[in-house]
Amino acid sequence: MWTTIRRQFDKEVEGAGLPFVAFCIALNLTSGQLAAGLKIPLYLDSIGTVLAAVLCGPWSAIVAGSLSNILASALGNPAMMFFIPVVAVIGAFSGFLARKGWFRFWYLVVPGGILQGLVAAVVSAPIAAYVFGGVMLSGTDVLVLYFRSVGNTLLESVFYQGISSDPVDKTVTYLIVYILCRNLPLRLLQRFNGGNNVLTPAMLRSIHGS
Amino acid sequence: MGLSISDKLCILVFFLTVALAAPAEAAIVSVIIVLLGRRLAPPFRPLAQASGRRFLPVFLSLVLLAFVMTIVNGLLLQEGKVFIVAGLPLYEAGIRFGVKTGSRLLLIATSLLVFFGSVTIPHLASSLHRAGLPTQIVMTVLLTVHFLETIPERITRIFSAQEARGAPVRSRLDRRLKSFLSILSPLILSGIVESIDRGTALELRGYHAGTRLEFEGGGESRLSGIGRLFIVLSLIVIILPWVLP
Amino acid sequence: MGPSVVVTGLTFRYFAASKPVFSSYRVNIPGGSRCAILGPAGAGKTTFLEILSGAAASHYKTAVAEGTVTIGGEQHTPIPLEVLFPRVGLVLQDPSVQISGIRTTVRSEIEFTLENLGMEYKARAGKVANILERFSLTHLANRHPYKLSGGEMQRVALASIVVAEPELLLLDEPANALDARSRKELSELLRLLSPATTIVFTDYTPEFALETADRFILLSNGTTRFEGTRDEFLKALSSLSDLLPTEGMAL
Repeated sequence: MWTTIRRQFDKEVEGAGLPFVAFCIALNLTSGQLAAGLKIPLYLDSIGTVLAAVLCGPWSAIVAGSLSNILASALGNPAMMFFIPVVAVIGAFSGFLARKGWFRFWYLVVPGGILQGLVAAVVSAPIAAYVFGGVMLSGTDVLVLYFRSVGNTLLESVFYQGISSDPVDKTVTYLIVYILCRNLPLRLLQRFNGGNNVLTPAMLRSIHGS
Repeated sequence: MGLSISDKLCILVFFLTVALAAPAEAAIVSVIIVLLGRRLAPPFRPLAQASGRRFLPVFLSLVLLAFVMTIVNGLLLQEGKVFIVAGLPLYEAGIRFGVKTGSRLLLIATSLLVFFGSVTIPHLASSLHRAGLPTQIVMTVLLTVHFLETIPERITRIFSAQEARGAPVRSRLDRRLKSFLSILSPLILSGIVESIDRGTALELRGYHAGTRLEFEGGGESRLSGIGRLFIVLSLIVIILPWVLP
Repeated sequence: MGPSVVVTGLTFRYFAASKPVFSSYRVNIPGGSRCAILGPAGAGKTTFLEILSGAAASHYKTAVAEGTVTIGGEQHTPIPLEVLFPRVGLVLQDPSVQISGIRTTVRSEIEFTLENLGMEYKARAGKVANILERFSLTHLANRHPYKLSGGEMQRVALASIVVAEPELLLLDEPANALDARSRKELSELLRLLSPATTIVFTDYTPEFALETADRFILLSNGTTRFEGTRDEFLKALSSLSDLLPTEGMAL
């Protein structure tokens, strides 16, 4: 199985992919800070993972997400290590949607982002509950406290908090990646294995001429 | 005391095992041991001044997190005896849960902080490569470190240019989001162009998947007696709760 | 003697439906020469080098090409299955992206190429020491490749390709960002390599080419506007001024 995964990853990152995955990791580590700097009340720290998923593929996105969290831990935010399963799922899920053509039209990107947010909330809830006891020292703690004070269990409260913030965050992330990819010149786009993931049938016809 | 990165990894695994499998008391004692280790054992001292300076604020915020976690759970998990502290009714089950979760989190985070502070990312990647980590992953990590060194400067440059053009970096949310995009777009475009050129350059120098490379640094990667001892200790920590009545 | 390069009937499109960059293009570069391919931006210079190096294979997944590229008697399609390294080496325009970013010394940066070729440590060490000396990089061997001047970085990028001993060496606008002194040094280095290696480089001004090349090709919109020796090029230069900036040049 390990050999198969490696082969899949190698295939996805053929050509420009390897440095691009590295760039996506660096982007994950800086875009969240940039969003915080601009006082945007969203995480926006998985843009690189989703970008890798769309332009390279799911395995590259899993690697990008996981390494982002490991490096974030190494750079002074140890809590990120616990959320590796969440970013791995985000990578796999967005890679799957990209392959199914969900990044070709905005009206598929929005429900895709909402679905991604729900999936992320489901995966992160047990981690936030059992490792962090529902407290992350962030603004979202107020929501967890509210849900717990009205009689929900810790896991339920963390999950409700997740579904109240993650779908918005992931939908905005998906839309940003969609807009960025659609504005990329075709000559750059076709250098990636997943370049076709953002091209509509009409655009593909204009390239291939039939 | 000369410890290889593999030895340090074994010691890290031991403390992570204690955090996840041992009682809260053991976790609290371990946090103190880790802190003493960082202070007294040369292999665990921070390599860079920056990581040394970053440690205290991060550690204190973790202590605060553990404290808040205990209070919140004491208030909300209403089972067992009640203690009135500063007028607040704190329940025994909640406090126990808070202390257990908080000490576990504190130990995991502190050991990770100390471990990563005492190794450099390129040396860690290089050492793990010798232990079997695929070349592609090591290459990705090293290239990320390279990008991380250049991205903040690019962001500052784009940010200043946007501000100079009167971009709304301090206004309503929708405009700030627009501003975020206007910084991100050129950043990503330049990143993609550079990635393509770098990919080509690697290929033009004969790099391909499966190439066997040697990475610099990382020192000796073999396990010493200390590393092996900590593996055994980790196993004992896992097995002990099953053996003890 | 370095190999000759013969290109016949080359037609190249980035996409099946796009305008061709080259259409039934043919060119002949004699073996062992130092050939300058000149022309304005968008003339097809970089794409031509990518085709010669085989890099077009992974670059242009949707590209469509016809014709043949013959290097030293060995025939290839314009989009071969993989790059033709180490037989053909291409030095990219920007040395800062050519340098891998994963090595911390000039020595190990150059060694990286030989590791990719599967060369053993002892053989590598000898070759690297030799190339460091030839490229006047010995005193910089333990410096970080990104902490060098533009000219030094260009020499490291070139050394990292030449160490693999390519028969055909391609350079994309090598003198682009260099000062007069570094340009002169680079020109001397390239002259030392020839005629064991055929050298093809691009530029958009004729200055560096006149210092270095013995063969000149002027490319415009994928077609040859001029092809000839140094003397022939000097004679024709005034009539080519619409494509080549020659202002301020001492001819």
